Amino acid sequence: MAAQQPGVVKSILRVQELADYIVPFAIRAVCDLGVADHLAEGPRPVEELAAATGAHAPSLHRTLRALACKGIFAEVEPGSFALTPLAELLRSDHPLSLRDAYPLLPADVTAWAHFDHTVETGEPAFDRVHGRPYYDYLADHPDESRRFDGSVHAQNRLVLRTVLSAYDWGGLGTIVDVAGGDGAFLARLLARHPPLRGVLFDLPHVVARAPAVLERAGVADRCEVVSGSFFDGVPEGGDTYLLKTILHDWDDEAAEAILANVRAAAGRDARLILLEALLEQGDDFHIGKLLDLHSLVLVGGPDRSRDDFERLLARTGFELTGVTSTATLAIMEARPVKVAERRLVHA
Amino acid sequence: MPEKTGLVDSIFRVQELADYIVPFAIRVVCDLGIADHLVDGPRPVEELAAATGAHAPSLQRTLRALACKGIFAEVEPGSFALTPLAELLRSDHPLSLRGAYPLLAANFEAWARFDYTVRTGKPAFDHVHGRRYYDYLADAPYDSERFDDIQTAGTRLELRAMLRVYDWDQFDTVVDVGGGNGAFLAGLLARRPGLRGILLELPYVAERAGAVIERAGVADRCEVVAGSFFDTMPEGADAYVLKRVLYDWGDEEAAALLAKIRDAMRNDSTLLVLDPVIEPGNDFDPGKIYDLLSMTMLGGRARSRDELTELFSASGFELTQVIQTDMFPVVEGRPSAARRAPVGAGARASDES
Repeated sequence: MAAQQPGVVKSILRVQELADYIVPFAIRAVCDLGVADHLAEGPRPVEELAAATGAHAPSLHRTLRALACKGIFAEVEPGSFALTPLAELLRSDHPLSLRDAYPLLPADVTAWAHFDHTVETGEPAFDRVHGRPYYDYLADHPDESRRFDGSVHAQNRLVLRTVLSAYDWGGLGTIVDVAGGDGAFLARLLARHPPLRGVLFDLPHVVARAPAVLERAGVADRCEVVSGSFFDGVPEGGDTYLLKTILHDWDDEAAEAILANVRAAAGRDARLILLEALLEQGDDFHIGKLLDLHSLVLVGGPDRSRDDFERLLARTGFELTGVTSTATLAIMEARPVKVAERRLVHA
Repeated sequence: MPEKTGLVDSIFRVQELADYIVPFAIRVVCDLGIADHLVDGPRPVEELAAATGAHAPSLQRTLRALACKGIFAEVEPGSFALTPLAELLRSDHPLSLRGAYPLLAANFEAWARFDYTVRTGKPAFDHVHGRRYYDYLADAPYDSERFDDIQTAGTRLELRAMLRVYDWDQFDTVVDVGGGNGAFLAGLLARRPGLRGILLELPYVAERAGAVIERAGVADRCEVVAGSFFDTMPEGADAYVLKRVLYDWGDEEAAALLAKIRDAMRNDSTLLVLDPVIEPGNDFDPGKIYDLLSMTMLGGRARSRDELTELFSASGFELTQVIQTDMFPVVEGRPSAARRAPVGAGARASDES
């Protein structure tokens, strides 16, 4: 056998850690069971935890023991477990709770089991395994759909935190949040910056949930709710148009149609803000590079670089004027290209 | 609310630990054999895709994701190279892990229902696929051969570890019980020319062992016995090796297996079990994680030292030492005094005196 390079054992251990799927599944199972919530008041014997969560005590014990050796939970005396700083994040009542971020969704996992299909064909493995697109499947599976929504919301909390502090949102006037969902992001933005006004725009069944969200945030008096599809048109008169993680679900043709409708509604001095994962060249870690594969396998969304966005914007009458990177999404700012300048470009 | 320092770090750490995207990406590039195509230097992703039958843009995204975790590097836009971690995924690396990470759909279909195991204590594999894992493998040659590859990848490291910590020259004949395709035993015999070996394995696995043993040049010193270790056991050898076999089984079956070995061995034979030995406390131990693999796929379990001592004792063995290695420890057992005498009234009477 060849002489061993120093560090090879360390490399082996690191590859083993990176290749390990067991811990991820264990985290998902304890999140679904809500184990961390039952430890908020202190350590408890695993039998009590099992009884409270409907788990099989010896199996829960082994699961928690495995997680404890990676710093999630601690076995403080034989058979009794406590929270650790990492486990605190799995409590439902933590302000940045990740409890709902990691559901164990069998349909997702069985699609991932056929990841080879995606890498060989470029098609989403989900469609191949389940016979239809991801969002169609969710529409017929309310429980998985609810847990999927929960995971999006949980991940949004961190996005909000990084994005809100990385950009000067206070001077944006009236913000039209295009396909802004139930208004969670816009409500948080308005609550943080009292001079702002908002227009929340999304499909009727989606904005139906918005009034309660806006009310709870105390911003209902500064936010209008408008329903419709961005393929038909977008509310006029905003100072700022916001598209948060919308374009990544659509191919270029659809993305151009959406942006053209925004351009038609926006005044010549309006501003467009895109929040998207923007994957920079180079090998630096960015969570977006991993989540990109999630999109590839489940939904089949495209992957766009800064240049791709710049081209997409140029084709729809916008000019990219600034990019702010964050640990989560990039904030891309664009302005309408003035008509005279557009003529020049075309000349 | 004031944020504790380190909160964001904690969030990123939980995200890393909860991520199954990277594990799947590693498996797909291992199956495609990407690292083998980078041995002579960086290559554009289009060439890699053409050479491996992949869709170039999707492969690019997969390699980019791995590169941000240190596996492969994008040395110029669209061109990838090996890194120290990626070197380990080459087929020709002496400690290659390429075969350790196949993407086996049936396994992950079981893991998709890990919740079933945690709620019931029963293997999700049986629940999802309607039969036990080894029965499934008997009818699934692709999965079964990839399973062999996983074992073989581990065997290289285990062989290295076990040769260092144990004196194999004291034995003339070693039985590798449930020894898979023979990779471990063949490697051992190749390095210990005085040793003779017997491989005991189920017929559908044993039929692949001949080639492995031949390739190692030890066919004249190695016999293959095809059968279930619950039914048949070669008699009278000096040592019986159970490498990553015991924790595949629940207590009842594990005790039956050990008793079967005890009945076949001599009073001065040695039992060598390479298995997780779980210690109390929260230290990192891969055995604690593989325990969940056993729980979910097989209904087996990793054991503590006390549990192993008890299991040994119930099957006629005395646990004589636990030897740490870079891999799982080696647990040595010898026939216990109580079982050395023929089992009968006499032995019991002497216990009572």
